[in-house]
Amino acid sequence: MSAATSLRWGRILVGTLIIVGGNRQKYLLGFFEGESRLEVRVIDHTADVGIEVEAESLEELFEGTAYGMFSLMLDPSCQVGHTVKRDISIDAEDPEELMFEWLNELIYLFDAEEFLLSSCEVKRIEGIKEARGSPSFQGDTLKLAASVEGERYDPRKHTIGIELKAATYHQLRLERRGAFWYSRIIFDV
Amino acid sequence: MSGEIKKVSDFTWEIPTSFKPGMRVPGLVFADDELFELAQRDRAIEQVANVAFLPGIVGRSLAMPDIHWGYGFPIGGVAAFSREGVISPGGVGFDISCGVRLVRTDLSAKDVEGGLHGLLSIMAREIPKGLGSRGKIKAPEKTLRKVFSGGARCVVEMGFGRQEDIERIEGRGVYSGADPAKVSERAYQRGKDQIGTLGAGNHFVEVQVVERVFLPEVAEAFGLFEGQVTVMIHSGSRGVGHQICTDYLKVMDHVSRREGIELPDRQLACAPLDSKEARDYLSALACAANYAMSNRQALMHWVRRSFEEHFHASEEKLGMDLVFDVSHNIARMEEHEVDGKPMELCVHRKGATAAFPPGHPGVPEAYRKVGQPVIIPGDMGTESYVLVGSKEAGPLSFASTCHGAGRQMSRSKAKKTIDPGKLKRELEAKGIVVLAGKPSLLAEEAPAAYKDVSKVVDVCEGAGLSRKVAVMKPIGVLKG
Repeated sequence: MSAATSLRWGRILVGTLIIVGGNRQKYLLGFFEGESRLEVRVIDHTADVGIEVEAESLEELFEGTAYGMFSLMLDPSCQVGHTVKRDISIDAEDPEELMFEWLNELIYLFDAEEFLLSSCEVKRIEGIKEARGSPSFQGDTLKLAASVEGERYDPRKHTIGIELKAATYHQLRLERRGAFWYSRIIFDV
Repeated sequence: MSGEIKKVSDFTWEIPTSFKPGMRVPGLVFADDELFELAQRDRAIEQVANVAFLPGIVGRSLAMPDIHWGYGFPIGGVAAFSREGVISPGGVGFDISCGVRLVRTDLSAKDVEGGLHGLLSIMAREIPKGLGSRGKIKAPEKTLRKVFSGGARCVVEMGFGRQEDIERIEGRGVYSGADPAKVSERAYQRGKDQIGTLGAGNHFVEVQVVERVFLPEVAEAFGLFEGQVTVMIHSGSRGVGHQICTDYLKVMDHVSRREGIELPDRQLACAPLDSKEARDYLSALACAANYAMSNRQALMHWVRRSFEEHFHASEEKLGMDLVFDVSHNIARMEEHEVDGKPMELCVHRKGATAAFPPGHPGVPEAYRKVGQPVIIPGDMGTESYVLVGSKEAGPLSFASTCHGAGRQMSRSKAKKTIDPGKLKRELEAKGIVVLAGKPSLLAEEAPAAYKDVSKVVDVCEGAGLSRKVAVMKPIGVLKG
């Protein structure tokens, strides 16, 4: 497993390239952590909204989708503190289901507990073979363990972005693309 | 993709099964040339074809004129399944039983002129709105169980509304067959303080004036007249529905694999209607529908309270009767005639509204002679409509019609191209006051982001799906 140390939010500007390091135009945000690169791009969809994420490790891919999702849910200029901590563990039968469950877990935390994400660390993903092509799974169950940090929503401090009702299975992808892991998720708005 | 789409009449387009191999029945889109051209700009037509893959689909995979690209089913999609067919949570959507209700008043436009800002400010204070908003009604598990099984009646019994309101809600305010045990702990958590909250996105409360009546007799039965002030409420089942859909999508995804059902899009995950999973989902969907109707009932209560405070008169005195409350994201078992024989079908309407004809048992008694009211919200700057179900819609569309204007521009494009400050001034120049939680929402929900609702309802009338009763223009809008 790679060292998936927690990435920071950094200063995020919607639709703008903030961190140099890629050659694509439509960044929503980009992060550098040591040598590792993360890209999140927004997908235009008539009624809804989606993101595409590329990362070097599977753990960072899951972290990246979480950051990407909260960058839609929150005004990018918001500062989110680290006063709340949660451990998350998820089981799924295939990699895409794991992604579906992971993002919907975070949407649940937001809706039920007003949790806003400031940092996350995916500690372990068990059961996905890191092979080229579509990821396959070993055994019956995939497991993800993560810890997330953030703050309870405070209307004086935080401005909400888009209301995401859920992450959907529509056109959901999670695959190996060359040196990167790639995922695409469409949200219901 | 191969087969050619064929225009079969002024308002219908057929997508043959050869369009995409795997389609069990053809698709049928209700649209004129212009709306069909708009529908073809994104992937909505392919989604109509995808729905036709589902086992047990009867007739055609249908799309209403406000069709646009959704996830899984298109928005504006209608599909009916035989008993041997399936039910799909993606055919209902995450906001289960999202819908609209219309409240009439005895007030006329001049009664609200000048005082509109004041009235809207009271409503903004009374109605919790925006993302993560918390309601004034706290519903611990015991209360929630009652709401889940009893629907709007429970909220009325809690003091939020009048007994007679119930008679003017689809299904008398209750979707039967609800089982609160089929709802996850998470849905309970999300639902405990969201009754009577508006939410964000395209949800709103709008003060309107009836601009024109098209069918005087029907309008009279609905209690509507020209120049009258009405209030429209658009909201759904909030976190409860979102969670139930999420939970059952996962279940259905496993069932689809178990049953070997081939799906062109995973969001179309479904289960055979006679399976335990399908029954469980229908029981949970009923809970969400009951929650949604309760939510709109509570929202209407705060609207009435706001009017009472503003006009110093009781809501009864102001004539604030409920006209109707109808869902546009729902699946339900209904009887329809297929090839001349009555058949029990599971009708999915995702961004489409039931439109039952005169005499149909699904129409509230007060309106049975004229037909079911259909409430069509426009967008912020444009008109909303009241339609009525027609006899022709039964065989044409499983008694369904459109649900609104339908988006034509993505939210990010709207945000990039529309200046919210300028838009607000333009709307105010047209006599429309808007209070929105945040400026960017104004841009996302701008009239230019939507299709022309008047064209949509005209196509519905032209195709025989419903008839226009009245058109209302907005004068005050409250958004999340």
